[in-house]
Amino acid sequence: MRGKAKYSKKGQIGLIEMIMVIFIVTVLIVVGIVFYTGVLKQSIQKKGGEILSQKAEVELRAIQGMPEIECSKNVRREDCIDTLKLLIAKEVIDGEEKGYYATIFGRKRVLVKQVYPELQGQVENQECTQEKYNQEVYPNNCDTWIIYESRPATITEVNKISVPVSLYFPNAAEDRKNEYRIGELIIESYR
Amino acid sequence: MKKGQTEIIGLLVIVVLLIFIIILFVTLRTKPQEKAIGRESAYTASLLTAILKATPCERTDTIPARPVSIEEIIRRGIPRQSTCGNGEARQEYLAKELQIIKGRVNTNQKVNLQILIKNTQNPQDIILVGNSCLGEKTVERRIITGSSSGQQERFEMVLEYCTT
Repeated sequence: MRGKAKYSKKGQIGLIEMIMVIFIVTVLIVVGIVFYTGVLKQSIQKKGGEILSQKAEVELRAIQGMPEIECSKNVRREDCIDTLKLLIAKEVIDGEEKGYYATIFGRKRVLVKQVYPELQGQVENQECTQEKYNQEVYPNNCDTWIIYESRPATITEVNKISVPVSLYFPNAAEDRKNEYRIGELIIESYR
Repeated sequence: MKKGQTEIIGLLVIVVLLIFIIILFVTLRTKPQEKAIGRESAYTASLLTAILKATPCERTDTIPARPVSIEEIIRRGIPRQSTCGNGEARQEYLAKELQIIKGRVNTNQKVNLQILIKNTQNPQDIILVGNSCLGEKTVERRIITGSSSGQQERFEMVLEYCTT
């Protein structure tokens, strides 16, 4: 009876020891898995962000070269954006061909903003429209041209990317001169 | 195998596992970040083109008034009958305008821009806006030839871009 009790106690200790070892190893494995999954998730999110950013870069370049907005003089293409074309492009893009442009751009907002020279008065973020164009003070009465806009019902994330561009203001009227200003072509991608 | 040896082997397995996890953690944490060099290069090239094309003022001796570009001011100097500055010299006028452009274009605190225009034949004819980048930078250069005082001159415009 005495020997049996001693054997049982030794066995219990062995069992507890084994359980503890299994427990520690399991904890280590679980911690490893959790850590690895976390790192993997972070890396996938980062990669996803990079891909979106690269896609937006490509789109920025493509938009800059779109004949709808690009400058051209005597059929020769120039490295700038024609602001007069921008006014018409908005109408074209928002018109019958909206579906075509929606397949190209998706859920985005594409705009051009003048940054230099700084405009006097309260014209910050004022959209340039045909109406504004017909005013005598144009182009000093607005600084933004929205080319395309399609917002989802709910926005969880907005990625903004921009590139400096040369803005060309053609001599459309006798009293207006050809001039160049500095602007930014901005793409806001919605998720 | 004795019991003591088994225990030591068990301990070794745990130590090896711990070391493996630590190595994995350190490796993943110190992985170098990739830089979007292509983007910076495209940005500087576009900005330099836009700056040179910009027409901040106009000639008043022509009908209609003809806009004067920054490239033209670098190449030929400030036209006498123009709205460019208030009788300032080319250097002062350009330094002032480039400072405004730099401030308006670069609203991102993490980006550092430096604009330099130098006359390659006259080391004293130099315009410098902004501080130089300390780390890795993207540089865009343009050569502009002109003659402001009857002599052939050669200017170099350099735009430095880096993230801080």
